[in-house]
Amino acid sequence: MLNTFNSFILQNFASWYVWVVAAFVLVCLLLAVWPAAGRLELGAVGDKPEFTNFSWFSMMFGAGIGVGMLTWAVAEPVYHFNNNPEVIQGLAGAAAADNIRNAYKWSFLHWGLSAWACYAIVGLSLAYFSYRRSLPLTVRSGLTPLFGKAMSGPLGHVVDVVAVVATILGVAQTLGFGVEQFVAGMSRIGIGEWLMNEEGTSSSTGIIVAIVVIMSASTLSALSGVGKGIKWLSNINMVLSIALLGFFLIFGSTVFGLQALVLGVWDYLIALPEMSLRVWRADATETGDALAGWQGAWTVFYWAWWVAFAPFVGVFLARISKGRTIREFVLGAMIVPALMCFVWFTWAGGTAIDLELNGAANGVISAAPDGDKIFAMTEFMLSPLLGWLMAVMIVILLMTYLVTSADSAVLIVNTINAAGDEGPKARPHIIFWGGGAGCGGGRAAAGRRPEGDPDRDGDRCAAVLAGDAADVHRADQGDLSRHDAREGRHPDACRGPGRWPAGRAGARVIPG
Amino acid sequence: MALKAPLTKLPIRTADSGFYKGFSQHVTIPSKILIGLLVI
Repeated sequence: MLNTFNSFILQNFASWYVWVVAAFVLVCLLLAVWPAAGRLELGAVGDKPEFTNFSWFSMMFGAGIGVGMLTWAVAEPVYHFNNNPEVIQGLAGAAAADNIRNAYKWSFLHWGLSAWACYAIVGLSLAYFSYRRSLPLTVRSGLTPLFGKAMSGPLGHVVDVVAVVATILGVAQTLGFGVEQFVAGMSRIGIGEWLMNEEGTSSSTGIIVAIVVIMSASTLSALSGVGKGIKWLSNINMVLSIALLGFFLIFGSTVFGLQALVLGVWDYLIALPEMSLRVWRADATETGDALAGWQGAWTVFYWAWWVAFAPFVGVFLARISKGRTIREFVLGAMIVPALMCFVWFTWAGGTAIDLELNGAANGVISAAPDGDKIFAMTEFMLSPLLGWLMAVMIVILLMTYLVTSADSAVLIVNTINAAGDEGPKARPHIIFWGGGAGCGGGRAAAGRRPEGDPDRDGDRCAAVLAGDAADVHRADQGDLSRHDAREGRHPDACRGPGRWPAGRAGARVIPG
Repeated sequence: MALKAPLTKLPIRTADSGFYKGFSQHVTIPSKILIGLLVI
């Protein structure tokens, strides 16, 4: 059923996703550069930022991307190195040296300005209406220019319910994907063979134990509030992330990574308008169908996933950004995180590509499941003891990213339910939402089917559905009318040809 | 044409007492039901 819904959405709304996200980028950048808008403070006169720049950025980055970086910084460039629209069109060779720049161009599209603009547009609108117009810090407030006082009533309730459901589904997806990588990591550091099954994927017991550990920690952190648990975990995240990045910078393919970064950013910026607006339609030709399928499986899926996260991340960004100017907000919520993603992709992912390209790794990294690639790479690069220590650090980082995603999501869901108020006694409700996200994540992780099963990607479909529900009022917040372009069919977009190779033990998530 | 004054109040009714004190039941309860159904 999910596959059917998802196919319908991708057939009819792929262009909607592509163009709306492009509009988000444009609106955010325009607001930042427009002199009168850029210097507007998201707060009353005299309001000072609540958090230091480091904590502010750490919390944003942890909530917005987090665990997805550890998987996809290595995995995605490798995927696109093997297949991307240029390869499909015969313009570049798969896994050839001339395809490296294309690999990064497409990776940067999915993790760059477009991704962060989805969060920034929501965060901006909610921060503006909450702090400058004294409206409740909840999603419906962003739609008051369109619907006025009607947002107090049933229409507003529907908006907030959609936001809550999209948030929990989005976080469940992140947990579902991230927990597999977490279990694989724990298995690597020797926690126990019971974590994995005979096929080399996470066992149900391992998934359940991991979910319980992560959601317990998340719930405890959520109960302590933004100023304590979330802030400190986010700071730990950032320190460990910088340390891991530093490792790749010093011991990885530094020159290769630097070249990939400079050339990648250049290629990305030059191609951004075209990549942001191009919609491939299935036209019954092999190339056309392959391009449409690729875009559905990668770009549209990512946009849907970012958009599904946008209510939660947007409210969270608004919550922690009081006192910042719009220009500061766009810089901190959009441009700096995008650059950080680019650095991760080029140094961590670049090291992987370089090791495979020069034959040193001999396929060890490429053959590893998505969630295991970073472990395979560090194990290859280091001695057994140092490789083990590095794996421990990555597992801790995975856990803190998953915990911060879940706890900030739970806190924000509670804030929306309380009409923007953080104050009410929320303990039993926090526990419910923590359990709900955990159960959803466990279902997503444990429900993975073997390669070839038509329902294998049902959980990816759920992410697309959550994104579609959230996207409708996201576009309204940007004062855009809804496109209703007719699209060709993307019969395999949900299954994503080439997206999930055999032996995948973990895959992608975000911003959380 | 004069612009309308911006909205600066958006009252959202929350429960005064009970288990949902401080929360909007119109949002919280349907959300919990939907999530429960989706998880099941």
